[in-house]
Amino acid sequence: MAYNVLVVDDSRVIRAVIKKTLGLAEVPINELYEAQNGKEALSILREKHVDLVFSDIHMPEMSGVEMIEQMAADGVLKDIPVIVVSSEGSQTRMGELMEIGARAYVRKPFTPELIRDVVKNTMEKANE
Amino acid sequence: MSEDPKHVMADTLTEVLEGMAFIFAESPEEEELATNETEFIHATIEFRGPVSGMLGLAVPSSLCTELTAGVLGEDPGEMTSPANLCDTLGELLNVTCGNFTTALCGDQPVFDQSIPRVAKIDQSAWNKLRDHPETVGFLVDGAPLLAYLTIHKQRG
Repeated sequence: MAYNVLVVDDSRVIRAVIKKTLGLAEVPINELYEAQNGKEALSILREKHVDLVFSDIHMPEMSGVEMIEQMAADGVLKDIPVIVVSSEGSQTRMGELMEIGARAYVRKPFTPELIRDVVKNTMEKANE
Repeated sequence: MSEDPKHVMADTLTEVLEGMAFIFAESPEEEELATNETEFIHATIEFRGPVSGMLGLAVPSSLCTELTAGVLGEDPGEMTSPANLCDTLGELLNVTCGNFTTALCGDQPVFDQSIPRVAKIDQSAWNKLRDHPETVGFLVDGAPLLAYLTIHKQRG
């Protein structure tokens, strides 16, 4: 099954890196959408069918935290898995993000192998 | 926190450059930090937590092209967008900051990081940064890279 993926990051370079890494990890992609912040992401999520979201935390206009909170409060969007991609290494922060609805956490810098494993685990759990 | 924060910052930056841009940083001779380039990119980021402060990076624009190519896995000759160059330096600094605070204080404390500020600077601003006593110089692909750390506050 090929996925529709949304990549949310204010850095266009990181969006390109995630896109490239998904290819190297051989994650099957149908459509890949991009957003620069949580607000743009929510707008795309309400218009398009998305299977999986990769999101940064710190972004202007709307952070990844606020986006995840709004998704969790939305009856339609709450089941779309969000993988947080961030440079922060705090286990406390990761726990907080999982509590509000994130499904996984990937720390930068990351490898294609890590992305492949996280996507596999996340999508398996989402489809249970 | 037992290690010298400046050493932790230098080690973290070296690892991030290798892990993200596949580029290796070396310690330069002092004269190798001099350059004839006229345009440079400077990025800063602030962090707040058990330790608060600021990290900065500065590179000649030509090195930023190499770094962007390394991060994207592309040919430096195909790197055209100046916006991407600033974006890359800001993101390398962002990742360095996140990994630095964890290396310094462990994986429990929460730090708030600002969004990186990136701007072009001229040679006189570069020289001022280079000559600052807190600046650590690196040689990356034969080009100079400057990094510095300012600690404002340490809790406890």
